[in-house]
Amino acid sequence: MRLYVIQRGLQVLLVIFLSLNAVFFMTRLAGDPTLLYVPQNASPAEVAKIRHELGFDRPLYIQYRDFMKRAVHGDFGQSLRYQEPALPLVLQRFPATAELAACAFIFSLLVAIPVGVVGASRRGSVLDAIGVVSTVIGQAVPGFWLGLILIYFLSVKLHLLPTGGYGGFKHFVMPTLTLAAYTTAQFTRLTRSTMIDVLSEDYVRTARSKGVTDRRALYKHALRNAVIPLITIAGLQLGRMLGGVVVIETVFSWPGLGRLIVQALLNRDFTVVLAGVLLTSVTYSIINFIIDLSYGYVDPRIRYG
Amino acid sequence: MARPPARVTSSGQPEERRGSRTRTRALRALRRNPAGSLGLIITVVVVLGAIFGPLFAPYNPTAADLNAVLSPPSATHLLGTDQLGRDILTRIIYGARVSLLIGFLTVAIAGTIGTIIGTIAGYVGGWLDTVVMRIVDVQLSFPFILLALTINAIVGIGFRNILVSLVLAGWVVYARVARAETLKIKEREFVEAARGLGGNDLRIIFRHVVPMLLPPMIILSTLQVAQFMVAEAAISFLGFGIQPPTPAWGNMMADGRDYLFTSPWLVTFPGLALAITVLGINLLGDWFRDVLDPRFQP
Repeated sequence: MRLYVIQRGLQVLLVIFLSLNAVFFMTRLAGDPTLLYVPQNASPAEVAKIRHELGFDRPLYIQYRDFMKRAVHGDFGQSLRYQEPALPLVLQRFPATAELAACAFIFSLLVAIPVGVVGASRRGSVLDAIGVVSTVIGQAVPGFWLGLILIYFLSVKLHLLPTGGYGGFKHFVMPTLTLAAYTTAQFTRLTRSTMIDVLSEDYVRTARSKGVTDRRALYKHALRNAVIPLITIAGLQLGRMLGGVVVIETVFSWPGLGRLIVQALLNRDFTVVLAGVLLTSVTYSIINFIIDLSYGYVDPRIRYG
Repeated sequence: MARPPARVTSSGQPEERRGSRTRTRALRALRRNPAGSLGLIITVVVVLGAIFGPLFAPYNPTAADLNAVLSPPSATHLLGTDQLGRDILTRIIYGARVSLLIGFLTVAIAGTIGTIIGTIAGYVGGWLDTVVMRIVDVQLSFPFILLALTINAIVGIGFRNILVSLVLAGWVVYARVARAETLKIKEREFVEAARGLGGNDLRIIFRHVVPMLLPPMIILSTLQVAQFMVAEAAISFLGFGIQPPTPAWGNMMADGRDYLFTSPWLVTFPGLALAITVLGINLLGDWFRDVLDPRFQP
């Protein structure tokens, strides 16, 4: 077990190191990285001046060494717009995003598991049909559009909720629902199909024939065994959510990392963009690391080699 | 250890061997699967609409009509007009071309690149496989939409660049699936036999491995067409990707956002078009999964 943790931990560090590389080379995709940092109408002299200031006129390997050295110390350079170091700026916005993602994630599980279990245990019933149709629709509706439609009905027409911004419970409702829609559908679908498989297993039939109540057979014997695929998908879905916030925070003016990145992209403030993108990648890697380790606790049959 | 459940199709029939019976199975599945039929109908209607719709569209998608600014849906403008008086229905029809073209082209290019890389990595194994998989891991640690958006901001806006961005951000999924499937196929007797007989590796890959890869790849690609369409719309919505005045569903919604309080049809209809198209393609993908490989999880 300890060996596995160390191995996986090293793997995570490797991925983070490679992400740094990806971020370094990403800005060079279009050729001259200086052009990303200057206004579009800059004169060649201005471009040359900024190129020198940012150090893009040095040999690539020196730029790379310098970038890595500073990145290890958490220095991604100054935000050109805010005139502040990029990393603290990004970290400052991170909690709002984490809160939103956590709410959406918990909401999805709270809805998906009961709906999926009921659907599987009463396959073909009206309830099941409603569940299936909702999941199909939930997976098809684009998040940002759903957000705008919710704003129109709940804020503009009914005056129930604020159109956006960060604050109390009311501010959380629409962004959470919007961000959770796709994930809830995905989880429901997976819970339902895994439960259908599990319910036909011998041990569930045995439990039932022993006279265990339906409820207990369902939640204790079946659901516990259906949890593993759910955890796997949960990790992947979390990555999707970290991407989804980019668009949804913009729709709801949510002061999180996603909106900061979009604004930075529009302002061509690439130091902030890169720090934000990297933070997202690191978060994703760490969460999936934790999820990998949690398998052993959830399913004692899984042993780490 | 729990016994893996037997392979069963959605209709409850034990899975049959793939091959000559696939077609009859497909037809039967279509009859039994109204959702799949609905998906097929929606997809065909949207594709035909995108190809032939402009021939019938009564208005010019980019010509402003200042006498009809922001008019609500009516007999003359079925879905209303936007802030420049352009007919929304016409723009949705033209926008469908952009959306579908992006979706299909990205799948074609990213799918080909990813499948080739993944198949070779899985077949050859060793250090090549390790290197490819590390690249895939790293890329998957960036959320797809964020990566595509950032790349798009770097390489620039416009049709070609959004395509480049989506391909660069999207190929890894194919590589991962193709590799995993190749690892399974590689162990099958017919591949070992071909190798034992001294078959050339490239020939084995194309004659024996690739045909077996097709079913999962077809399912994945179908579902991915919809994903890429949504991604393009989201990126255009944020102000990158396809720029106005070219009608694309994403930038139409971005325009409409400013008029959401007074003229909600600007946002409603392009989004609805996207949602219905995605729904159709997803249903079609689910149906392909039922027919081709019910256990497949992308």
